[in-house]
Amino acid sequence: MKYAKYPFTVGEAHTKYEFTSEGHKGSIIKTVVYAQIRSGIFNLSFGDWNSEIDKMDDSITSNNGDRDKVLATVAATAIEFTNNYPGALIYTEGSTPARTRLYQMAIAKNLEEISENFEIEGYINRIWEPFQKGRNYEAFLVKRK
Amino acid sequence: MSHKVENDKLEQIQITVVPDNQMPDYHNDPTVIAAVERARAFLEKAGLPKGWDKNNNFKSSPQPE
Repeated sequence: MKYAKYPFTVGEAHTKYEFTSEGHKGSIIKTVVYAQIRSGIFNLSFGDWNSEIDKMDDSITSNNGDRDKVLATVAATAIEFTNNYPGALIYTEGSTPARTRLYQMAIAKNLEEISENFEIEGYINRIWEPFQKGRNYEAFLVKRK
Repeated sequence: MSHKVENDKLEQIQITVVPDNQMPDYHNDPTVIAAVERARAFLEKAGLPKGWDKNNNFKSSPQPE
């Protein structure tokens, strides 16, 4: 990835990750959770951690001015996760259509580098297809090469 | 435990590994649980890309023409 990344903390099961976004709105704790859907398939949840109510918010837009660095860090967690769970499929979609588009833009922006490590499929018009730029996908599936 | 991963794919990111119980129980977070349920329902309907459906119970999705 061509963007800088934040250092992160990972639980020893390598399924939950935390890092701190530092931007003009201050420090924001970000969490990435890989939760099993079925054997070998994991959902990637990504959001801000609200420590006041002990709850993740996957719909908030932080606008902390570091979007590319944050998304590059999320991608780095996927590498770390698949280092520990080789063969795992990672499913993700945005919690809202806007957030799905954000993920799509992030993938498109970094497609060449992401493709070095991962195969990415997007779901559109009721089929999965290899990710292509400029297509509005509903969801994504990723696996490590 | 903190270490720098030598894997060049992680480009020397500082990664700290901690016991799971030192982090919040994210897997039981309602947002995560809801996302997993949505994902399961989606994949039940959509299936998986052809060739990606080994070792799991999802069907393959129709293929691009």
